[in-house]
Amino acid sequence: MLRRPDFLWVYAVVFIAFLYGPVLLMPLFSVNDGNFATFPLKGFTLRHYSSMATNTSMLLALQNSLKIAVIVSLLSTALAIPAALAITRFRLPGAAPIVSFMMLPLVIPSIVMGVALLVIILKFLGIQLSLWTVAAGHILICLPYCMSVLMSRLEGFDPSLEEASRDLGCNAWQTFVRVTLPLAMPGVISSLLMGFIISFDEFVIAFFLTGTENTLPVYLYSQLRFPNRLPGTLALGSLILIVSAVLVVLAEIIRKRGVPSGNPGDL
Amino acid sequence: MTDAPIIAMSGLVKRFGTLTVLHDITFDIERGEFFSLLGPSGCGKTTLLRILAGIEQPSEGTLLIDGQPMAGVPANRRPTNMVFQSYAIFPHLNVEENIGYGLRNMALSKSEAAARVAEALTLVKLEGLGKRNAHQLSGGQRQRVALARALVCRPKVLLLDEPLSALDKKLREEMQLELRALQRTVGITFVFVTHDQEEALTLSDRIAVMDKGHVLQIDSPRGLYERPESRTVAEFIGSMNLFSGRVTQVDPGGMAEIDGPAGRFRGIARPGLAPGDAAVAAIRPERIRILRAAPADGINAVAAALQASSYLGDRSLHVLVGTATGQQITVQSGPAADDTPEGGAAGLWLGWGAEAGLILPG
Amino acid sequence: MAFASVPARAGSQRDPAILRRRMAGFGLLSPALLLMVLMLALPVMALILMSFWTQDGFELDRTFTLENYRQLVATTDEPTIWFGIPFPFAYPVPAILMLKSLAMSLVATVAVIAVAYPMAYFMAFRITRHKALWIILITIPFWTSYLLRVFSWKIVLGFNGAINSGLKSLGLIEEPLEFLLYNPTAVVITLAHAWVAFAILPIYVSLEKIDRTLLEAASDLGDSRLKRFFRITLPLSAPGTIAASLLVFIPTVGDYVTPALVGGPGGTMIGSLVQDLFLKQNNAPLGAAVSIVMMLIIATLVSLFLWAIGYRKLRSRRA
Ligand SMILES: Nc1ncnc2c1ncn2[C@@H]1O[C@H](COP(=O)(O)OP(=O)(O)OP(=O)(O)O)[C@@H](O)[C@H]1O
Ligand SMILES: [Mg+2]
Repeated sequence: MLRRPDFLWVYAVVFIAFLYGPVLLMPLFSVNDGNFATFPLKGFTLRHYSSMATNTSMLLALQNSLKIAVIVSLLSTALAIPAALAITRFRLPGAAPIVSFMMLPLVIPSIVMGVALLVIILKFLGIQLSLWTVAAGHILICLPYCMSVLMSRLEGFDPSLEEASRDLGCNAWQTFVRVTLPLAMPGVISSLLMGFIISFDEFVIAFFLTGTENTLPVYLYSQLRFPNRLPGTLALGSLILIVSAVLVVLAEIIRKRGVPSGNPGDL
Repeated sequence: MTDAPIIAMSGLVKRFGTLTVLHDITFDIERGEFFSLLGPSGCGKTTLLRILAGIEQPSEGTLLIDGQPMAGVPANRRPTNMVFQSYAIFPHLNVEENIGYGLRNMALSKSEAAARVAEALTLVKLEGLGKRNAHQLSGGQRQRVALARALVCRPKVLLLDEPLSALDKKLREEMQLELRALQRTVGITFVFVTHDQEEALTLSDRIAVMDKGHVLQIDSPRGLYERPESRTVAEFIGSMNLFSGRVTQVDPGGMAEIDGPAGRFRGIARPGLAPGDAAVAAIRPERIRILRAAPADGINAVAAALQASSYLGDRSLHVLVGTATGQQITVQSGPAADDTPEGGAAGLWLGWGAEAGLILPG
Repeated sequence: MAFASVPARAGSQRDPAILRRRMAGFGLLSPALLLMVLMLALPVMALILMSFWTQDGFELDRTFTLENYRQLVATTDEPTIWFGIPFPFAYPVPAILMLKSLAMSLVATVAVIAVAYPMAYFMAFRITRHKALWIILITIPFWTSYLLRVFSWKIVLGFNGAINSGLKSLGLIEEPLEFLLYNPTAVVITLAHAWVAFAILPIYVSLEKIDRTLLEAASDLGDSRLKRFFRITLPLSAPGTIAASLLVFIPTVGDYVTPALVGGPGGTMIGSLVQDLFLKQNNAPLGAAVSIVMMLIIATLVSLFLWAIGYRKLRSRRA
């Protein structure tokens, strides 16, 4: 069939332009030799990037964010794997309401989770705010994503593969290590990457739960108010965008690889 | 009403990319016929039906329905309705809403539409199930809903794509009878797709046998069974014993003779055969007689040994092995016992009259 | 042992093998579930408890009182008029901001669905090759920093932003257009842009699941393409569309990043007030009460919406 450029094609192209256009202005202006994000463009420069190397508070924030993101991604994936297995492989009574409960952070406004955690941490537990409290909050919002990635992966392949392994004499743990985990590996890796991206980019909860130390988005937010720091902000924002985009593409490609999944929800 | 055919196809070709699925389809379907498209899986039956419905466009050729050219006429403006292989019952609508779906596109008053839906429900024996949801129906009921939904629009042609294939054997046989009776009642032309030859023979006025995108033969069930024009059709319809050889003689009276490893055979010839052509002698199992001694003229005679017999009540089936070629030959005998070979299983002869066999190009 | 192979329904509850399997299943589930309880259920309860306390300067008064809620609904004889709507409250700010947030979120959600639906339709029905590529293309913005996506609109709409400087350098305007940024419209546009990628996927999945022969059947029964869309495609994709609209509406009501960055004084929302009460005015109990009321209102509206839809479906079945 011939693919005619029709209304929907035009729409799709305009839509993609709308989706990416504003965001792509950031890297565009970040290499512009000027101090404002304005047209006409003045000339190409990388000085906004090179000056980041000497910005110690930013580097510190970056370090904090990386630490938190790695811990959060590991912990939430580690928690999500057994939970996803339990939901998809053991016909548990009450599994549906439990899953709905665990997916709640997807719909509760982050600010409510932020203040609720703030209240319990400060007023009830009396714990000092720190990077650890940020990490705890991030695990909460990453867990539903990690679980849905893993659940759709586990639903996508035939459970009789595992039964076959049991039949061939493997015990439950050997079956998990030799059959389930390798088959679910694309899901595991993309869960790790997603946990990392979500935590690395998260702002609202970090803003409420961080103590004296900044994460990168919190640092970025504090810079947004100063127009004279705009070029540096643009450079930093561009870097974050590029790194996130690369990780997302990686996560998606890995998730599609391996045993094809027959699950229509598994995008 | 005129006598012109309701559907006239001429030179229809359908290609998907480089794959040609239908080759030069040219034939007519008469008004009020129960017409079947019969052929193995993947031969293009569904594709042809979808072209008639307007869901698919032919790559070449013309199609007339009721005398009107159908080029550029979309499915929704054709006087045809379809019963889909998967039934395509709308899951968000109940039985009545499904059946009344097409009526909303006609200029009908509410009460008129309701009356027609009720009538259709009765016609397919679903009275009282109008408020059921689609997912509460059994396979047979879904099939009836699909049928009623198409019939209620009173199309000039009803297209049915293997509507019975999803049903179990008993229900299928019941539905075959109902479908045939229904077609007589409503008098609409039915174009019925199936890959089950028995079903096609039971139901149809005429059958088009298709293979690999070609129409091989169009005939009545009796015509197809008794006068297949090609080896493929002969093998596809019923069971047939074939003996290959070369034509030695063609009589002006329409008879021909071939000579092959299994012997000499004489039968009614397909026109166009000439001496020296490769050909097969085709004979139905029920036309063969089992003999104790060789027939005198040595024509249509095969020496064979009995391998197995099975008694089926109204008839018996015997499998024999030809002595000369080792090929299997099926013979069917009636309930009378005198046909059944007794005594030795070896040293038997098979024979039949020249009028019973066919000589086909092979 | 003859009975062992027959799975008896009543007996299965007490079958030790099944019980053991269930125990194992819950064992695997428990760490994640426990964490969710500790970090979601308990904090929300703490928040509820906090809303019954009061803040007195730097002191937290832990006696149980409805004072915060009373403050939110206390009436006065001189109603504050906002856009012609009288708010008869002594402290009208939360009520006004709540209504405003709901309205802005609603507009943003409607805009998101209106923009996302054709795109999802395009992906489900028009794309035959490189489907995965398009899905990734849609997914990337969704996973990249929300903060940056919002900030990018500040660059687009700002006084010294891309539109103004672009129009100026083209000679189309003399002075920058000030009405672009720092108003509710800017917030709605930004919200819609930030969330649109989120809405496409659920709609896309529900469209992708529609059996194509249903569409062929509808055409066969006389529907034009447009009619078929409204009678088959739209109703069958309704679950995904409803899910998408809720996934956008609920979180955006409480958003405060967007109003803070592009809203200006006129574009504040209820989330801005919560943030303000907690971090600036140091009145956590009142902030807690506002959050709770906000959640309750959202939950009520969503339930009403779902009930109305279910109800309408039921009614159309009967008609
Ligand atoms: N949309 C399409 N694109 C490419 N090839 C197609 C398409 N539709 C059908 N075909 C091919 O056309 C050929 C005929 O298909 P069709 O569905 O008409 O067969 P059929 O006779 O109905 O078979 P069955 O009995 O299995 O239903 C098949 O080889 C099929 O693969
Ligand atoms: Mg077919």
